[in-house]
Amino acid sequence: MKWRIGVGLMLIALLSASITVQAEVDPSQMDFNPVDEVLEESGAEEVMEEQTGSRSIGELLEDLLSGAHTADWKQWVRAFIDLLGGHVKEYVSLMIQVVALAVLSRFFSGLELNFGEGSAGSIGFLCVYGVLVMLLLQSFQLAYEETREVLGRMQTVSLYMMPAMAAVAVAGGYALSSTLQSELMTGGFSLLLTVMKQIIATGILGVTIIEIVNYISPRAVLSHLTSLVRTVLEKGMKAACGLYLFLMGTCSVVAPAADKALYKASSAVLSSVPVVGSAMSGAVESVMAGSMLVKNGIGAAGCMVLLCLCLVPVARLTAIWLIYRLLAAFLAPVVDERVVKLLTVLARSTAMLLGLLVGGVIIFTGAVGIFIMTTGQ
Amino acid sequence: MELFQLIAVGITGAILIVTVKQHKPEIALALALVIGVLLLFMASGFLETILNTLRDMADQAGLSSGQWQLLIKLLVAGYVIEFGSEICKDAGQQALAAKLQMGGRLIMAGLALPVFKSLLTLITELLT
Repeated sequence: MKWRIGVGLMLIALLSASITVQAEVDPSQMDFNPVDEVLEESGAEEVMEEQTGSRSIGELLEDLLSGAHTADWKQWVRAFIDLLGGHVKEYVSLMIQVVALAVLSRFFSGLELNFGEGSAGSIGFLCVYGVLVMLLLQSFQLAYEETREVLGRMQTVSLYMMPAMAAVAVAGGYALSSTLQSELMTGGFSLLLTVMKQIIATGILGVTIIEIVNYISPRAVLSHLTSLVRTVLEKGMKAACGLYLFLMGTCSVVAPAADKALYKASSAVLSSVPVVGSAMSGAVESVMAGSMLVKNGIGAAGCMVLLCLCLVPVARLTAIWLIYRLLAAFLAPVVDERVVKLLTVLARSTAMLLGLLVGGVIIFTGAVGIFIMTTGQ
Repeated sequence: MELFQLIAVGITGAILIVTVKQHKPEIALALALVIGVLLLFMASGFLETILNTLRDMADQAGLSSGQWQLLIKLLVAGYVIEFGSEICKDAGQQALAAKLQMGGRLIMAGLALPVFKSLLTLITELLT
């Protein structure tokens, strides 16, 4: 009997440090100012206020924890469609310029057809093609730079939100799971975004320029090379995302069981303390439940912040992609095939950039979801 | 109506040239040149309408007028060079026609150089 009390007191002493930390989980004391700054400088603060009714992460977190905020997906879809329509209207002048130049290029390619490939028309066509490329590359450049900026902002947000979730999970008694997964979750996601920004996005730009040059000549001798590079970029991206989620899932297999065993053991020890045992055990349980709520709230807030950050850029990139596809479809019967291929190349590259942004949000949501599932729901 | 006039002038001119060529080949060549210029003048009205419409579209959309004027110059130059080259070929001077084409392409390349330079600058800025 004495040795049991001795072991119990020792365990209580060990747990007392974590009980103290658990009692101090207070979302209002968490510092999310850098994330608020990112939202402000990107202009996503207004989007967040329209969609969630909150102007800062702190407010959003309070609304989520108190149940005042409910996600209305129809509102998000409506906002996306409105933004898409607005951006398409912005690019109407670009469409008219492209149509005018493409029709003019038809005259030059007509000269080539009538008088042979070596005719003066080929120089004229190259000149019109050059003007078209300059015009279209300016809009593509906007899409490219915006993608890189948004990926950088996503990285900043994740570097604050994910460790905050992990810290709360530790305070909630999931020390082993949280410790094992937090580094992978935060560091792995940051690395993935760095790869997307520095390697994949730059690769997309490079292959786009090579393809544009390739289609100047009707023979298109670099098609196999550009096809290979695109395949490597697409498959590489999918493999990296899949590997990250696989590692997150694998990491989450063993640790939760160990955390649960530790929790059960400590709960049993606390309950065995005379007089106050069940009250103490109950208090610990409610504090842990509170921590889980805060952790899940931070995860949900993080996903909403990323959605707000990405809503406008995704709408813009979708508008640009749609315009390139519409122009290619509309001009295909009328103009030279090289102009149509130019538009198709740019549309494909814009779709890949769009995939990077959407992929980043999905991977973040997946990682947060796995973390929440494995550190107590 | 203008289409039938064009066809009528073209066919009549071809018959005349074939007839005159048997007796006076040098006059036939001059006749071919005159009829060619006449046909171009008859078609130029439609070309002007098309180009004016495209220019209005480009102006409304905000395309640079300097670039547009350059492209129109290149188009006119292209047609004139091909016209001259075909006249030379009609006269049996293939080598002359080829030289005329080469000279024309060099002039057009010179006119188009600022566009290629701007494009190269834009690509370099994008990649760096």
